[in-house]
This record gives sequence, C-alpha cells and structure tokens, in this order.
Amino acid sequence: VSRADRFERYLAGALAAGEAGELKRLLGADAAARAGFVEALLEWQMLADAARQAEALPRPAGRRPGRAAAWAVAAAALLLAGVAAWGLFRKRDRAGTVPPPPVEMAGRILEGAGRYRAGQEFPYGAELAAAGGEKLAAELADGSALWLSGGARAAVPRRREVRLAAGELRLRCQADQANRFAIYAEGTTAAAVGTEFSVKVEEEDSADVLGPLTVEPPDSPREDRKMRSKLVTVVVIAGVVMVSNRHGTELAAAGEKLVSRPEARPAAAEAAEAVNAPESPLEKKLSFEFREKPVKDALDFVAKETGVRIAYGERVGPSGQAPITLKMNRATASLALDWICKLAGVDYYVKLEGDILVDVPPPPADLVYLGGYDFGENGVDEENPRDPKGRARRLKELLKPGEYARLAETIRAKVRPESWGQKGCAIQARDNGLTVYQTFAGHQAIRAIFDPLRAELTGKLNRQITEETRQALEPKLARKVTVEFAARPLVECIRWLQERTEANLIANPAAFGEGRVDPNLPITLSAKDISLGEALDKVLEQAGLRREFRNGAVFITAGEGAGGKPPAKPAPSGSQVRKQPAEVF
Amino acid sequence: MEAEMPEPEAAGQRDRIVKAAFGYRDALLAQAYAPLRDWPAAEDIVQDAFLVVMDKWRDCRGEGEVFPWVRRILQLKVLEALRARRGASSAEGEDPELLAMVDRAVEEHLDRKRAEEHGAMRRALQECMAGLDRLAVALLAGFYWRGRSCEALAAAHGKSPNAVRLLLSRVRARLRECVRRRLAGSEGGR
Repeated sequence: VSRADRFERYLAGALAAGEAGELKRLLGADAAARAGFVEALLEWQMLADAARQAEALPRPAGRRPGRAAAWAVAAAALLLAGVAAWGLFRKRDRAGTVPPPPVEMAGRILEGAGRYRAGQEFPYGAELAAAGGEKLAAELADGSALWLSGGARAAVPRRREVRLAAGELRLRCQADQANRFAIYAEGTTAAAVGTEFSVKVEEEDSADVLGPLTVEPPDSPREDRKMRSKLVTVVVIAGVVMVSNRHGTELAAAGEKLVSRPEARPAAAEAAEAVNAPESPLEKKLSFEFREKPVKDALDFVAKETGVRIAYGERVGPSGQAPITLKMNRATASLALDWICKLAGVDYYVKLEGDILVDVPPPPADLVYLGGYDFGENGVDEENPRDPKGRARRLKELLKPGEYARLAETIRAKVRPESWGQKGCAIQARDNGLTVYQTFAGHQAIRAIFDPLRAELTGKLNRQITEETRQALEPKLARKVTVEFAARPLVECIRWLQERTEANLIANPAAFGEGRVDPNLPITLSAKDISLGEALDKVLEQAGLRREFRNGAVFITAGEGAGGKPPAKPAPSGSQVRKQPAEVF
Repeated sequence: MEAEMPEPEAAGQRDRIVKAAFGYRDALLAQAYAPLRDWPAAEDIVQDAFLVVMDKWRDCRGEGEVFPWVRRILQLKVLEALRARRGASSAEGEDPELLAMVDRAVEEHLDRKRAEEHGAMRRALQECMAGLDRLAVALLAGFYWRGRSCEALAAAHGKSPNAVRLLLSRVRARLRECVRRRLAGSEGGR
C-alpha cells in the first residue's frame, strides 16, 4: 500500500482496521510524509469544494442516450404511471374516497392579510405572499421568525428551508447547530446556523450592485452585466451568513451586504480550456488470441494497448507464469482484464493514481476453511486409460497402514497447536486422506509438511516405474541392425529406428521447441550389427539429446547441462562412425 | 436587534481583519476536515470560527497575524466538536494519537504562505473545472464532497469500480496540469 493510498483512505474515512498504527508511524517518523499528507489534504479540499460548485453549472451531457434507451425510459414511466393510477383507483374503490394525507404544519401567521390571516397555521409547501403595501410575519415550526415585505412571495417546503420567489424577506433563525437554515432564491443559497438576515430578489437596474462583497464570476466584464436580469441581495443583521451560487461561496458578516448574480456566465470559465474527462482507457476495444500464454505476458499486452501501468503484488508468485488460453474480439480492456485475471485466479485493482495492481486476493486472516490432503492414491486406477500403470493403486500400496493418523498427530503438534478445537479448527484422519479445517496460514503450514512427504513417495514410485520400463524395453532395443545414415535428417533417423523396434519413442516437445534442436539436423552414422539402443544413442548424441525410460516408453529429451540447447557436436569416434562432408549429398 | 456599529476607524480595521480571515477559508476548511472527515461539520465549524472573528476581532494583533490567530480559534472549535462527537456516540471514536499526528502535520506544513497559495490554486481549479463534462464533475463531487465510495459511484453511473477509479485518476491528473499551467500563466503575466 503506497503512502498516497493510505492518506486517501484516511481522508475518505475508509482507513481499514489496523491501518491507523501504520499511518501514525508514518506521520510520526517522517517530516516528508507529514508534508505529503498536508498536500493530499489541500488537494482533497480543493476538489471537494470546486466539484460541489461546478455541479451547479449547466454542462453538456456526456453521451446522449440511444433512441432505444429513450423509448425504454418512456415505456417504464408510462408503466409506472399506469400502476400508480390503478393503485389509486383500487384504493378509491375500496374505501370510497382517498384518505387525506396527514398535514404537518410549517408555522403560524402572526401578521398578515389576504389568503393567510393572523393566527392561521399553514402547512409545508404552502406559498406565502404579501400583497403590495402589506407585510406578512410568521413564526415557523422551529421557532424562527419570518417577515415578508410587500409584493414578496415565498414558500416553506420543509423544516428550516424557505424558497423566495420574489420580493424581500427577513429571517431571524433559531440557533440549531445540527441543522442549518437555508434560503433559496434565484440560484442563490443563503445559509446560517443561527443569525438574522434579509434576502431580496430584484431586477438588476434597481439594485446597488457593488456591496462590500460580491459573489460573481471572476473577470466578468462590466458591460456583460447588462444582460443579467435577476440579482439576489443578502444583508446580514447579526451573525454570519454563507452565501453560495454556482460561481462560488462567500461569507458575509453583520452589517455587510452581499450581492449574488447567479445567472452571470463566468467569462473566464468559458474561456478556460476544455478539460473534458477522457474516455477511460479500460473501455478501449481489444482483439487478441492467447494460447498457453503466461498471465504476465497477457497483462503486458493489455498494458501496452491501453497505456495503463500494471504492477504485481507480492502474493502473485507463480500465478504470474500460469498459462492461459483466451480469445476475444473487440472486447473492452476491462472485460479482458476480468477474464485474464479470472483464468489466472488473481484479482486486479485500479488505484486512484491510474495504476493497476494485480495480486492474489488474500483470504481473511481468521477465516477457517476446509482442505483435503492425500498422496494422490485416490485418483484414477489401472482400469482408467489415463493411468495405465495403476499409479493410484501403487501409491496406496506404498503407504504404511495408519500413515494418515500419524500425520494428523504431527500436524496437530506442529501447526498452530493452540488453534485445534477452537473457532472451528479441526483435523480428521481417514483411511484415504486427511480432512482439515484451518485458516489460510494454517493450511500453508500443513502444505509445508505434506508436500515433501508426497514428493518423496511419488519419487519412490517413479523410480520403480522407470526401472520396470527399463527392464521391459531393454530387450526390445537389443535387436541388432545395420545403419547407414549419410547426412540424413534427425527426424528421419529416429523414425527409421522406431520402425525397427517395438518400443515407443516419444520426443519431448520442450527439447525440440523454440529452435533448440533442428529436426532436420543432418546425422551421419554407418555401423553394422549395432543394437537399436546403441544406434539411437549415437544419433541422439550428435543432436545433443539423450534418452531415458519413462512411463513405459523411451523418452527423447534434451542433453544434460545444456539447458535444452544442443552441445557442440562431438566428433564421431570409432570405426563404425565416419563424418562425411556436407556436399556428398 | 440591530448589531452595535463600531467607530468608523475601528470598523475599517474590523473589515480588514474579517476579510483577511475570510480569505483563508479554503485552508481553514481543510484544517477542520482533517480530523473530522465530514464536510458539513467542517463548514459549520469554520463558520463558527468566523463568528468569533467577528466578535473578537480586537484580539487580533494585526492583519499579518490573522492566519495564526484564526487557526488557533479553529483548533479550539474542532476540539469542541470532537468532544461533542465522542459524547454523542457510543461507538469507539478516532484514535487520539492519530489525530494528534494529523494536527502536527497541519501545524507544521500549513502556514500562511501555503494557505495563500492554496487560495490561488483553488480559484484556478474552479476555472479549470468549468471545462469538465457532467460525468466527471458528478464523479468528483460524489467522491470528494459526498464521500461516496468508487463502488457506490460505479453502481450509480453504470460503470465498473475500476473504470470509476481510473476516470477519477485521469481527471485529477488533467486538472493538476491545468492548474499548474494557469498559475504559471498568471505569474508570467504579472
């Protein structure tokens, strides 16, 4: 986890349990880390505040919804309207009439005329209006006092909120630290916790535009202001009021007036370069076909095509080399990543800095899960064509009676001895294996004990099978033949020898792959009454190859110590071998 | 009901101090947010601090001392809020040692000069942000202002969480570059 990630998680309030200690250590030990934290904090504040204000600006939509999507929305709306109407009809039908909703009162008129008279209560949502020359005073449900001057219109849609449509209002709001009082007027918000102020909506010509503070777009030319129609003026009588419009936020204190011009277009902002969000690179369409390709190579391909940096976590290990086979045509890079990582059993995580971290997801430390352990004796047996040698049966024979019970005792003593019997951890020895409930760490420790034992047992079996194969095939390779190869391709020589023996000759693809050994390498050998085995050895020797008995066949593989590459051709020796110049054939 | 009006010369001095304090609003908001991680609470506390500035402006020793003075007021307000928060919640609160480290970092590295630079950067950022499209702004506001996770934003906008993270990362990088160029341009123009 990078330092920046940790700072971000702290600022987002998403610090995981146990990370606080690491953050403390970081901030306590390193002045540079503290400076980095403050920079992250300031950037966080800027982005939060600027984004909040930018949200109010009209913007071009990203992508226009397709015609089908628009029809779907319209159809869904119609359906909903139909269901609602049916519900209403049913309700009306059952009860005869629709029960009136409970009405919550927003306040009481103290002084007024027209629709609302003194002493009358009014509900939330009601519009209050003061006729010209009249005044209206009201006490709101939270204890705040509201005055409307003549010609003003306002509504109280909900608790501690007033919407001013026209004219001037004055508010003395009841202090409530937890709930700010907000007045909305012509795209302007005046908010206060407990203070007294007036808000006025008016035409620009009638206003004293320049107050001590103005919330208006920066650099807006003076003549531009003539185009504006509405102004909102806030005069603070007591306390401090925060006034916001789409261009910014200002604070006004007692005795100050603040003029908001929400309709003004920010000239500087319009001139600003378009910093349109680019399309996510993970949405780029990719076409590819991976055949047995290591995961890291496949991920490198995605990184190269998208320009995204990919890093590998510590837990990836051998998973990174796991071969995958996957073909996709015009798939998004994110879908490709999903599949590649799914096939490899790893997970990927896009960090805020744009990098992608690929890692094996760690299991929760205290999660107990079931694992089964055996030596491979429970697999296929000799009746199955995939196990003609009966490896499963023979492994079973090699196992000593009570082996699993002994192993269970060893594991109980060595692996998290305090955990057994606690929180679901258990081990049970069966005739054909072990059943273990343990944590991830516990299973890792068990594997560390179990794997060497299994390797030892299977190695013993492999040696037995090799010896049996050798005994079975040696007589077949003892047959005498006369060989005359004059610069004959290697593959033909091997085929010629195979035709004369009943033994299976199997070439290891790894020995011939990737240009290690040329199948057409010219082989020259002349010998009389030589055994097939000896002839094969001499042919393979010239190609830097060797043979071994494995799984009932003669297995041709790379020569020792050459890393798969053929060693320099040894000079043929003996009367039976003579080297001929290439031009002979 | 009307506030008491100070003497004309005192009123001038008061206005200068109050305006200077308001000029540090962004830095003060950041300072309040650092321990609280709650924007509405941070805004309320900054507003409370400005109320104190309005009442006690005579305690400030001069315009040059406004920032350390208002910051000290803010620190006390934050401590009050944290105490109230601990009292109101039965849940285990923040690690006091961690909050002390955070406070130390802010104390050391957010001085008056940095606060003034921050104000200039904030204005430049506002201009740069005017060019962003609706989705980018919605993601930024959702993540940084409303504190929504990338997973929640992804669900709301029909994208994968990783695509949201990547988009945020790219937008942020572009905004950084835009602010840098804008500030360099304004310095060059002087």
